[in-house]
Amino acid sequence: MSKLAHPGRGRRVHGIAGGITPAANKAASLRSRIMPCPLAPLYTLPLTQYKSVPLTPAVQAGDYVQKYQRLTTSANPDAAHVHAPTSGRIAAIRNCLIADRVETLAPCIELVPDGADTALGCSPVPDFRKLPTSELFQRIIDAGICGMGGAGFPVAQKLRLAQSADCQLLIINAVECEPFISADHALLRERAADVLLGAEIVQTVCRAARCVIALKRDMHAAISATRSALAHSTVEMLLVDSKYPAGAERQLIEAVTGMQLPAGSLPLEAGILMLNAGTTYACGQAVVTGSPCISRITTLTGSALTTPKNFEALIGTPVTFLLELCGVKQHDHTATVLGGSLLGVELASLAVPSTQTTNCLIAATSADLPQSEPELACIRCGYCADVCPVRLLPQQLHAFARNHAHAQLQDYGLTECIECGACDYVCPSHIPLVQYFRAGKQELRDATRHFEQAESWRTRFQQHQYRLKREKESARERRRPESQPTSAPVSRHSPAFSREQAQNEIAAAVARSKARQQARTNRLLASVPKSSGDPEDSGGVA
Amino acid sequence: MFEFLSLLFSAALVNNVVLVQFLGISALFAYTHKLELAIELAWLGGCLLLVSSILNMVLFRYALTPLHLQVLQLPCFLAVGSLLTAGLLQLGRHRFAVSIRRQGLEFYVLSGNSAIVGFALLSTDSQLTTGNLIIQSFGAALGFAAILMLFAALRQRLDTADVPTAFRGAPIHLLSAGIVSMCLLGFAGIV
Amino acid sequence: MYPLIDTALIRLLLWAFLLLALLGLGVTAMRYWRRKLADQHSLVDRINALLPQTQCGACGFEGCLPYARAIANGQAINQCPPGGDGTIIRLGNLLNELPRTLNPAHGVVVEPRVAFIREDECIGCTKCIRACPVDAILGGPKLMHTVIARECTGCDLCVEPCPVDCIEMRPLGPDHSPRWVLPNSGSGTRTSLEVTR
Repeated sequence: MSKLAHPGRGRRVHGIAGGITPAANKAASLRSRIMPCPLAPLYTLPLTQYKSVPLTPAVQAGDYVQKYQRLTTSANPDAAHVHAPTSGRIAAIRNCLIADRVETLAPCIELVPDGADTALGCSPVPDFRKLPTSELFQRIIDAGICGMGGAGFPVAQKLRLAQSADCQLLIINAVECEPFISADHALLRERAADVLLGAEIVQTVCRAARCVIALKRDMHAAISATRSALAHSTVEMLLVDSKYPAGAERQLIEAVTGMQLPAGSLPLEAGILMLNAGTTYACGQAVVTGSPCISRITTLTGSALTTPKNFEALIGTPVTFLLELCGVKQHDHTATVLGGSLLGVELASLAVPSTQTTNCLIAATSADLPQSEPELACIRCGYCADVCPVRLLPQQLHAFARNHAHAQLQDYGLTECIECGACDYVCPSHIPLVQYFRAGKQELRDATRHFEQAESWRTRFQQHQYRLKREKESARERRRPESQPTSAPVSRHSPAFSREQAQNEIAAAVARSKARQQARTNRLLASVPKSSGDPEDSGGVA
Repeated sequence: MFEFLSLLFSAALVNNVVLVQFLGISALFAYTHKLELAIELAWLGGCLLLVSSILNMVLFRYALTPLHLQVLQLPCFLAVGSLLTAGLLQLGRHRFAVSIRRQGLEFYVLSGNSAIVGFALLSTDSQLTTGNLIIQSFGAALGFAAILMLFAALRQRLDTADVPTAFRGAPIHLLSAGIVSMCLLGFAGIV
Repeated sequence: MYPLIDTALIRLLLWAFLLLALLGLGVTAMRYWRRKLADQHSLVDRINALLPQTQCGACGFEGCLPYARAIANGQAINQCPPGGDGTIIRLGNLLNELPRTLNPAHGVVVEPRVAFIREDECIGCTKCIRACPVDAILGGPKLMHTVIARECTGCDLCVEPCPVDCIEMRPLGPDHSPRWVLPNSGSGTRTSLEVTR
């Protein structure tokens, strides 16, 4: 047995609360090996980062770039930079449609590959232990890795936080509990040693005392591969129940440590850092081969594909191109879902590129993704409360959200909801609970924002009142010596003098402004007859 | 001791002032749309009921009856209720700032409330000793406060519940009050 | 009919109880007096927290805090146009009053706006600076003024004093970030006073 049975720790796996066990639907995409991805005709590289300012492009349209070349600059030293996935020419830098949970327009670099795939030289490191920690960290920063589990938080920033916090435990999340996704499973099955190497590197960088890799019990191939790779590693393996959402951050921490994080606190405050297996692999590759992160494992699955597979897809590959690689049954293909079947979003347009967070694309048939049934009344069966992994009361929250009862939403802990959709899944009345919760959360956020703004206005008003009072007092102070006969010189602030002068000045200024306005009106009037021409030259003519 | 408890219990639940004897129904519906408010008014109303019924009983037994002036009981009880309310209002003005903001108008309404006068009238026929009557008043006050608070909590849930359109608002409140009332009758076997 | 209990013990207990109750009442009364000021403040604060804090004076008072004090002393709650129906409902909720419609004498509900100074027309008279209740206008005598848009409450108070009419109220740009909406469930009518929007 592996370290799982290590007697010294007295370790046991803690369960998570609630959870559901939907059909996994992973076997189809796991039938083949991870396939390398051929070159697409166009790569679209988004410049936006996780909830922060977009990166500044360092190249211009028409520039020739080589594979691995960095394409962006940023004021933030820990920003996750964009690198060219292959050699080619920059076609344009413009706003393109990307899928960032919902489809939005975002600035992107478009790269047309030349097919040569000429790469910049990288400096491989055979043994990372010979490098100092700072060098390891720098290599991870330079690789431009984002969290591949879902949120896409820049890994460098996460590690920087972990270094300043007292990080005790590093958890590698390979649980991948959502149906259809098999990217981490495939990755561990074929490259377990590399993932564990990456885990050790990250552990070194964040100085964690322990490192645990968590897998789901039913990932048999991945478990055996990991187990054999564990022989050469200090990483421990832990198997969690095959439940959804065992792979959610807080739920996995609860399963591994038995500790529930307090509401609103970050895992790092408890000394825990969690990274996705794909992210860990990318970190390992960044250090060992010296190459930046330009690809990730993406699962392509769904009944509308003839050969579902896992691809090592280059970042920026168009979704249509990836789907074509697996052979789309055009007449069956009804919808494309980005992400797993529970948390994924349906793509309205297939023109979007794959990114570092694109773990799965489901080309669904109408059987995979049936029409949602009409919402019925809540019958108070309580199934939703049974499956809620955060131990909330979805049924109550639903009622409160529908009635905009903000105080109660807050009291019943809506902000703790992880929107996993387990309640949706079990609801016999087909109530779209998560949608209610998202709307409710938004209302709460709006209310908080309004309240904060009102608070700042209130403070400013108080300060204003205070200032007026102070000014009045100081004016009184100043006037007092004047009343005494000893003060000889006439004050500059003599009311008669200053008021008269001020009035004159104001009158003059009003006249000037009126004249200016008049001049402008004239100018506009003058430009009217030729307004059909270029609007810019109307100013120049006048 | 058992007698003491059973008296208290029967006054609070089995013979609940509001939902079994139907005194003070107006308070039940007027002041329970918000739990916070209902809690304030429940305690105020409860205190008022306790003190007024004790005073009324003393007045009736030791002043009106010896003087054979029982016919004056109603005006007397009304006067006691109003005076007490005014006094309590002064006392609680700052503690219960929210509920009695506007010159305590609503609270005066509560003073004319049938719970206080009605309970006093009912206890004139009572053959309990003075001490037991005080216990009974205490139980009645407890029952009054408890029902007000419980009903406010119930209404808070009803407000967010998926009630059929025809039943929304007052109808569903009356229906629930009726059901709670029947539940209270269920306690009759205990005493 | 209740059994008659009339033992000396019970009577003793009763009187002791009554005495204790009176004592408790006395002590509580003392505490009420002590907390009088603090509680009066807390009501004003709670009312003030529900007001939108635009400090526009449309209610007829100098700002939101003075209006909150007036409400605590019995002023009508439907005098706040920037708050609109939401504020009236919340106030009614706090103060146990039925929500009323906004008093039209105090204005109408308008969408949130910010002041904007057409800077090339500004003559630098500082009149708007003095009018601004939250000091959100920046500038000096004979120098151009500008509005700190983030701090502007959209109260309108600076528009009137401007001698050259170079201040205009501009609506806040619509929020383009994606928004979640409640599903249409058909049972939308609300019976609760807890409605906050």
